Amino acid sequence: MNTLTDTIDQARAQARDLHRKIAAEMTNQVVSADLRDAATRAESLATSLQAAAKSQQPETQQHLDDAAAALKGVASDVRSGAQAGGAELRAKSIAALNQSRDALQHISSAIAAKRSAAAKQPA
Amino acid sequence: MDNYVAIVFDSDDKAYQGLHALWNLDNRGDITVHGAAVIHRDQFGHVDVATKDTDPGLRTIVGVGLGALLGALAGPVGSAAGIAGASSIAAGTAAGIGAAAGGTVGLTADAVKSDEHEEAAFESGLAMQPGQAAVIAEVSEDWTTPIDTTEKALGGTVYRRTKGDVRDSSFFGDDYADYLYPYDYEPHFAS
Repeated sequence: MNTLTDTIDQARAQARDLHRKIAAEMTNQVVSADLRDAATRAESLATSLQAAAKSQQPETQQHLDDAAAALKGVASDVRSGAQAGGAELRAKSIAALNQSRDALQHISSAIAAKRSAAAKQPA
Repeated sequence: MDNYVAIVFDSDDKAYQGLHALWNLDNRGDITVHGAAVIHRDQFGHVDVATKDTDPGLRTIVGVGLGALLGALAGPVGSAAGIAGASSIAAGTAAGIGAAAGGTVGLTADAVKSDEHEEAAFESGLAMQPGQAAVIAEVSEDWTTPIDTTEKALGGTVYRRTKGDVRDSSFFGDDYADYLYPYDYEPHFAS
């Protein structure tokens, strides 16, 4: 199996976990250790995607770069929300959830582009 | 090709199976699913969205996005109804959203039946009868056979529009795609 595809597939799984975690934490009014950890995980995932994007076709590269940017936004929103607390925490959590959804959209678009290219290759 | 699909089933349980089958096709690499959700039309024509039971805070906005998407999937008649419903959705309650979304699908179904010429023109448009459920999804697919074959085997009727067509006919911009779950989930209808 293609190494890049493995990397993107793994990134997709991690981004899904991140989205689930933020969605679950949105019902809480307190900042849990899990939510704080989400910022670190989002940044790490963004770095991984940026590294994977460098040698790719322009379309795939753009999707991965966009995903990385969204994940950096997740980290920023989570950190600033955790510092503020209260209503600001909820607003930032919603923003982080939406950004993690955007990241997933870009990652799945990158996967679709790779799959489509593979399907068009002669057997 | 990037498409929106609506797969209509006669029961909620069948729609749940259809949702899981769709994600299984993604896991196998046959298609790529960007997001999906299950909806249900009740006997009064209202449309509810099956969410994860862990995120009640998202339920309201899910209705807003899917109302627009359902109108777009239904075709020109449904889009017109979706526009009419949009203003009431924006200011409405959760119950209002259900009614507006229901009206969107209901109007399309009624219009399709009201005239044979219209029926011919919109035969590819989404139509849901009371009591039916549907999987709504954004997918990338190089050919339609995987979804068509898998979902028809489960009793589903597949409706499909290209993402470009949906965007052209929607007044909500791109954001309705965000209301589809980006992974498989166990659907839950609020009682």
